[in-house]
Formats: sequence, C-alpha cells, structure tokens
Amino acid sequence: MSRVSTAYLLTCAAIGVAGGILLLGANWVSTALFATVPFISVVLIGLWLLPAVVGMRLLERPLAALLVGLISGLVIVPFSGYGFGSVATNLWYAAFVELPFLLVLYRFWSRWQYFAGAVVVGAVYPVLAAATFDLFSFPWWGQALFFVLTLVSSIGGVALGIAIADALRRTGVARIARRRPPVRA
Amino acid sequence: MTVAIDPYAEAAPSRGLRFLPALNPLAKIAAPLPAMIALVFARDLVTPLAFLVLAYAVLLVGARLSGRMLGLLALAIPASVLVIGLGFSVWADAARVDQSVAVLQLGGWTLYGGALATGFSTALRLGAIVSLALVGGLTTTGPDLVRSLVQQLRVPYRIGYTALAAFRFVPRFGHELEIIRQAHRVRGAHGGRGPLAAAARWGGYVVPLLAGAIRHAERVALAMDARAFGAHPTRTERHLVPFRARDVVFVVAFWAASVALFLLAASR
Repeated sequence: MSRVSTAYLLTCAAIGVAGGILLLGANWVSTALFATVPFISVVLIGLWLLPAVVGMRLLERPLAALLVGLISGLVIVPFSGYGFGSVATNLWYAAFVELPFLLVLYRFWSRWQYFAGAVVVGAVYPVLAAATFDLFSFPWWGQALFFVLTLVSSIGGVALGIAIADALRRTGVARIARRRPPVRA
Repeated sequence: MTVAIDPYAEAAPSRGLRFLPALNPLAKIAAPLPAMIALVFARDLVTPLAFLVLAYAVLLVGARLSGRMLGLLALAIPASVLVIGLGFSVWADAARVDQSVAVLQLGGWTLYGGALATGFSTALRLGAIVSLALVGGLTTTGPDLVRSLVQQLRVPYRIGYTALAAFRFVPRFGHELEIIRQAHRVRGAHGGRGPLAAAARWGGYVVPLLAGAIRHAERVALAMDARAFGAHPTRTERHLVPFRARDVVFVVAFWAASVALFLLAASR
C-alpha cells in the first residue's frame, strides 16, 4: 500500500466524485424509466462504466477502476435513495473495467480490453437482471431488446469514457499519477 | 456564498429510543444483508411485504427522520412500488401467467390477475430490498462508514482518508462547475435553446470540470505528502467508531427476525 502515491489516490478520488455527480442524475432517470418501461432503462447502463473507464484510461494503473468505482459509490450514498446499495452497484460495474487488465496482470493497456469488458457486461448483466426483475415474464422481443440495449449502451459508455480520458490527457493533467511508459534504451 | 446543507456533516448524538444512528455502520450493513440476498429469489407476495414492514418498523422506531427522509419513506417508495407493479403487470407476457381472473379488458387486450401478481411480487421485492438498504443508508454518514471500514475491516487507512477527502471534494466541485458555466456564458459558447443545445452545453463542461478536479486533487495530494501522510503503517484516529455489544445484539436480532419471517412466510 505504501507504494502507491497520494497523487494517484486523490486523482482517483477526484474522478470518482465527478463520476458520482454524473451518476446521481442518471440514477434517478433510470429509476423512473425502470418503473415505466423496464427494458429501456438499460440504455443508461453505459454511464455506470464511464467513471471507471475514464480513471483507468487516464492513469493506466492497477486498481484505478475499482478505486474510482468505490469513491463514486460512497459519494452518492446520501442522495441516491438506495443507501449503501449504490456502493455495491458502482463497484460491480467498475470490476468489469478492471477485469480485462487484471487478467493480463497489467502488462499492457490497449483499447480493445475496455471493449472486452463492455461485452462481458452486455452478456452477464441481462442474465442476472433476469433473476432479480423476473425478466422471463416479458414477451420474447422485450428480452431481446433488453440484451441488445445493454450491449449497445455499455459499448457506447466505454467509447465515451475513452474519448473523455484522451481529451483529458491532451490537457496535460494527471502527469504525476499517470503510468509512465517504460523508457527504451 | 450560499450556505448549503452538508449531507456529509457529523451526525448529532442520538437520545432515547432512536438507536440506529448510534450503531456501528458495519452492523447496519451486516444485519439486513442476508435477507436482501434471500429476497432476490423470493417469488411470492407475502415474503417481500413482511420484510418491507420490518424495515419500515425498524426505521420508524430507530431513526431520527428528517422531512426529506420521511418523504422518501411515505411517498417515493410506495409510489414506485405501485408504478413498478402496474408497469410490470402490463409488460408481463399474458401467455405465461395465470389467466383464471381477468381484471381489466381493453379491446383485445386483457390484464389478468396472474400478471398483476407477477408485477407486484417484483415491485414489492425491489421495495423491500431498497428499504432494507435504507436501514443503514438513512442513518449513517459517509465519513462514519469510511472510518469503520478502516477501524474494523482494516482497509488501509490511506484509502480511507482518500474517501474522506473525496467527500470534501463534492461542494468544491459544485463551486467549480458554477465558475465554468459562467466562463462559458461570458464567451457565448454553446448558446441556443432546446434539449440538443443543452446536451452540447453540458458536454462542454465535462473535460474542464474533470481537468480542474484533477488539478485540485494533485494540489491536495502534495499538501498531504508535505505533512507526511502515510509515513507510518498505522495511525491514530480522532473519531473512534467502536463495534460494541449492542451492535452484536442488533445483528443477531435482525438475523433471527429474518429467519423467523422466512419460515412464517414459507409455512403459509
């Protein structure tokens, strides 16, 4: 723990807080959508991946996505109306951003790994949601729409996150906390 | 400068029967957790209703509820259970539900009693899970949760203090967002009306806000490093969040009540 710098920790915190503020609005919109047109509400799912992707893409350090997810969850606890459920939700989505990099032991950081994580969300979430929301009671086209929208939304969220992180990189921030590419001799 | 209510402020000490704010945050998470997980797999109407009542009873007795919290409990949750229940009944595939009772007929479309039962069992289940989460959520401040994570669960204190710093970032970023908005308005960037212009306007705030936030975070990190933050493997705490006998009693009692409710609902 003593190896990681304070700048890394607090940069993740800043991205997490900004992401939390974004998710606060998305949280209420998705609750309202869920109550009325349940399978449309997943169009917002990509937003839950967004903060973790921004943090991971900008810093390219191990555990950045999970730390951003943890902070963004903690920050919205007083407002979200789900209590500490928000922390679990945000950590859960951040884990899908973290996983493709953990699997290669943080050896390389390429763009396709983020999209791989998004595809896994698109495959795993509808199955789990089916158990919780009793999705099997919907007509078949509703279930198909649910699958397709989850996939499209998570891929869109990842693409947006990468775009934001690259724009931030061009502004020159987070130089202290960012991973430094190995110097070639 | 306007004075806003700080949602992360220290909670005032509680008195009398209001026992929830004084409990350890971890106890308030551990107590309802088994019931929340088990409820995901419940498919009837009675079990979630019983847990909804339990969560409301614990909250109404044990928590000091502000107007906003009362609004959430008295209006928002019942209303969402109603809307989700009706919505899910309408969306449920009529071919797969019990068609013995027809509740409503509109032209060629019929709302069956079975669809209503399916819809409301989902709605009550979600309502029960959310209200169980609120037992801890409405009565704990974020900083106290972070402190108990560090003090009881041995989360590295540098991560804990990062989270504590993050809570202080929230009002600061609100202020920064206001400055960015004013700067954009002065320059006439992204003018115009309508939802598309508004989306473009908000899109223009994202990168400057994040860049400002990260710069602020780097300055705070340098200030903390300069004060030797993280120099030692452990540190002393100014605010102690103890795990006492009453926390154990609360958790055990809640688990016993959960088991009893499940058995009662299953025996019917």
